[in-house]
Amino acid sequence: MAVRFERLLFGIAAACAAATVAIAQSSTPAAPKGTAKAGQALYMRVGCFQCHGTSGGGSAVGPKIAPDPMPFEAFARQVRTPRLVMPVYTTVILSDRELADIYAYVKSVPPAKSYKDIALLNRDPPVVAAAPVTRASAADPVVAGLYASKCAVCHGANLEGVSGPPLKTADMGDRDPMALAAKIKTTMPPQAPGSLSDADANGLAQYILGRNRAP
Amino acid sequence: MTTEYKAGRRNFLKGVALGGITATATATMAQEPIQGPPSGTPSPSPNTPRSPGPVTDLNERTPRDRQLTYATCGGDYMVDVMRSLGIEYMASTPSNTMLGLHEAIVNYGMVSDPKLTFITTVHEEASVAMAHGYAKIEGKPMAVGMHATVGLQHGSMAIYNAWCDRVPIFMLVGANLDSARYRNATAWNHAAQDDALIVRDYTKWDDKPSNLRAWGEAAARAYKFGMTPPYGPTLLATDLYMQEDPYPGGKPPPIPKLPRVAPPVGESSAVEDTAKMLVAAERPVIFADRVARTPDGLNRLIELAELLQAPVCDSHNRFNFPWRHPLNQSMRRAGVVQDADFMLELEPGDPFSATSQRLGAGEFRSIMKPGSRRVTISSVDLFYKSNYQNFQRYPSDIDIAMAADAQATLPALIEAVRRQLPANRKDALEARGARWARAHQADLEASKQAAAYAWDGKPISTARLYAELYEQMRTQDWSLLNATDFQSKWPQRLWTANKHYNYIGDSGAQGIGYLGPATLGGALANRKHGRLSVAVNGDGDTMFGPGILWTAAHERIPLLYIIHNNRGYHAEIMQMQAMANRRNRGVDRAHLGNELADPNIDFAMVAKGMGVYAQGPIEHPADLGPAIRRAIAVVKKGEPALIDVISQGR
Repeated sequence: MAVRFERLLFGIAAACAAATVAIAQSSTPAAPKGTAKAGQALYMRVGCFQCHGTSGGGSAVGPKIAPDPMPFEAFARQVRTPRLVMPVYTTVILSDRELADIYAYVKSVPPAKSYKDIALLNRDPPVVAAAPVTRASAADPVVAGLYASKCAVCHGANLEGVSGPPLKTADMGDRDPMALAAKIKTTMPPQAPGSLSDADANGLAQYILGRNRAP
Repeated sequence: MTTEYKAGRRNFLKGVALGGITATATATMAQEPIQGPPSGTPSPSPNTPRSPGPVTDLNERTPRDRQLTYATCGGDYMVDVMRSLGIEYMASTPSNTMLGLHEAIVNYGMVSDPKLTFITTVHEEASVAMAHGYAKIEGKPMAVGMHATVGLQHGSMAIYNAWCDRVPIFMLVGANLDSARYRNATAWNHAAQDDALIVRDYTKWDDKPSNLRAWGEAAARAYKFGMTPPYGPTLLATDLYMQEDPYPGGKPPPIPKLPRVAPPVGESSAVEDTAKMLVAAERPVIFADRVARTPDGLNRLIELAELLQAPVCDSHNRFNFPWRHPLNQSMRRAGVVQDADFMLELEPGDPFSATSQRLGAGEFRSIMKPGSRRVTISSVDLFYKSNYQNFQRYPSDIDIAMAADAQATLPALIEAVRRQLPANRKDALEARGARWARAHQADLEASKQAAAYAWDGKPISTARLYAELYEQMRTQDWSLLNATDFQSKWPQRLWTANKHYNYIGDSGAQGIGYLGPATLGGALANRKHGRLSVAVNGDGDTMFGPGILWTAAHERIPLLYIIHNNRGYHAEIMQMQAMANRRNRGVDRAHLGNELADPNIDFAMVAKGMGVYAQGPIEHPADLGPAIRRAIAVVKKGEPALIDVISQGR
C-alpha cells in the first residue's frame, strides 16, 4: 500500500513541477504578507513536514518546496486544489492568513550550503564522463591482441603471472571494472603509465575480468 | 550405551523399572477403577465416547513397537538429507511437533560435520523472514521449522513475502499422520488433514510424505523446485513420529541425489529477434527487476549494457547493476522510458507499471512513444497461481514475452548482440555512453545537493543518516540489508556499490515486519564471509517483532541495526492526512492510530533488555558519526549493536 502511494506521489511531484513552471510564466503576483514564525509552527501543525521535511527540503514522497519556493500563486493553487493524492487544504481548515504565514516560512528558509562544502558528500570520485567499456568480451580478438602485446610479457599469456602478479585470482572476477580500468590507465604499462587510451584500458579491464569469470 | 528394549507399551509398563512420568501415569491408572463390559455384551471400542473406562495411550491400537531407548531416529536421517542439500541452518521457534528433528539437530547436526545449526527464534514469522534474507545473500535456502497449524499460521505472511520476492526457503511444518496417537486435546487443535492448504496459494510446492524414504525424496524435490527459477518457498508437512521413531527396519533410507539444476533459457529465435531489436534501436533501455540471482547475473548485465552503451534502470529489488556505473539511470527512470524506442525488461514483477503513468481515478496511460517496442524475459511466466494478484495488471503492448530465466538467457543474448552489432557503430555507441555518463553525473550532483538540505536539522535527515553511515563503512566490505524506499533511496543516490551482496532489495509483498528478521538472516549469511552487515530499519517494522533482537544477541550475529525512528507508521500518517482533509476535518487528529508516541519507544532500552549493545535516542546530527563508530566496533567483535536515531519521516 505504501509503495503504491509513493508511486502516486512521484507522479504528483512531476505534475506539480510542470504546473508550477506554467503558472510562473503566466503570472507573478506579489505574495501576501505573512509571519514566518507563525508559519513555521503551522507548517508543523498541519503536517507539511511529513512529506516535505521539516525545512522544506523534500523527500521521495514530496518535492522540495524550500528554500527558494515556487511563486505564491502556484503554491496556493497546489495547496487549495492539489492534483492526485496530496492532501487538500481548503479555507475551512487553513485560512488564507495561515497559508500566507506558511508561505512566509518557506520563503524564510535560508539557502542550503553547497554539497561541495560538506566533506561527507565528497568522498567518492566523480563518475567518469568518458565513455565506459565498449569492448566487453574476453573473446574480443582486438583486446586479446592488445593484452598479448602489452601485458602478457609480465602477467603471462594465461594471466598466471610471470614477473608481474597473476591476474587470475579468486577475487579478481568480483573487481569493479571501472576501478580496474582506472588502475590500468594510470599505472600500466610500468614503463609508460598513461599511454593507453581510455577505450583500451577499459577493454583490457573487461578482458581480464571476463577471463576470470569464465567457467 | 543405548539400551534396546523392544516391547509393546503394555509390557513396558508391566516389566520395566519406571521413571517419574511413567510412575505417575501408572499411579493415576491404579486409582481409577477398570470397568469391564457387562457380561454377555459385546466389548465396545475403547475409543468410543460410550466406553466406560478411561481412554489413554494404553488403549492405542496402532501396531508400532515402542522402545525405551533407541540408537537411531528419523530425525537423524532428516539431518543427513538436509546436509546433503547444503542447508546450514534451521530457524525455528521450538515446537513439540518438530521435537524429533530439533533434538536430532542439536545432538547430531550441530556436533558433526558439515554442521546443521539450530537458530532460535521467538516467532515463526521471524524464522521465515530470516530465511528470506539469508537466501538473498547466500543464494540458497536455509530451513525453517514451524509448529503444526498455529506455527504455520504465524509464518504465513512472511511466506507470502518470499513468494512475491521469488526467494527459496526450505520449510517444514510439524504434522501428525496418525490421529490414534494424538496425545491430547491440543494435539487435535494443532492438526490438519491438509497442513499446507493455508499457504498453498503462495508456495511453489508442498508435500506430506507418509514414510521416511518418501520424506527424503520429497526434501530433494522441494529443494530442486525451490531453486529452479522462478525461485520460491516450498513446504513439507513432516510427521512428528517419523522424526521421533527409529529407522523403519533399522536402516536409514538412501540419501537422494540432488541434480545440478539448470535454469530455463529463452527460445533461440526469440533471443535472436530481441538482439536484432536491441541493435537496431536508437534509444534502447534495459529495465532490471529481479534478474541478478547471483553475482554472475550482475556481471552479465554489465556486459550487455556496456556492449550496447544502453542505460539501465534498476528497480533495486536485487543488486542488478552498480550504483555508480555511468549507464545506471535508475534515478531518472520515467524520463529514460519516455524517450526510449525499445525496452528490454528482465524479470519484471510489474511490467504494466514499468511504462505507465497514473492519470487518476484508475486511468493510466503508457509513457512510451508510439511505435516503441518491448520485450520481457521472465521466469515467472513459466509458473504462476491464481488467487493472489501479485501477477499485476496485464500489459497490452509487449512484443515478445520470453518465458525464461533472464540471467540464464543473458549469455545467449549477449552473443547474439555481439554477432549482429555492426563494426561501424563503435563511435555512435561511445557517444551514447558518454551522454548517459554525463546524465548520471548530473543526477549524482543533484542528489548531493538535495542531501545538503536540512543537513544540520532536527530531526536528523535521512540523507545525513546515510552519509554518516557511509563515512564509517565505505572502506570496509559491507552489506546493506534493508530496503531503502522509506528513506528516499539515499544509498542508491549517493553511495558507490559494486558487489552483489551490497544490497538485497525489499520484502516482495510489502508485508510489514519483514525488515528486522530478514536483515538478521542476511547478517547470518554474511557472518562467515566476514562482511560488515548494516540495516536501517523503521520503528514501525521493528515493533512487529522486536524479539529478533534477542535472537541476534543469543546467536551472536554481528549486525549494525539502526532504527530510522520517525515515531509512527509514516505512510499511513500521510494517507490519513489526505483523507481527513478531503473531509474538511483537518489533520489535528490524523496521528491517532498511526503514531508510535506517548510514550515514545526507547529502543535502546528494549535492545539492552535483550542483551544487545545499544545507543540512543540520537537526536543531534553531530552525535551520529561517533555513535556509529562505537557501534561498528562492537559489530566487528561479532556482536549485534543498535542505534536509535530520531529521524525525519523519509
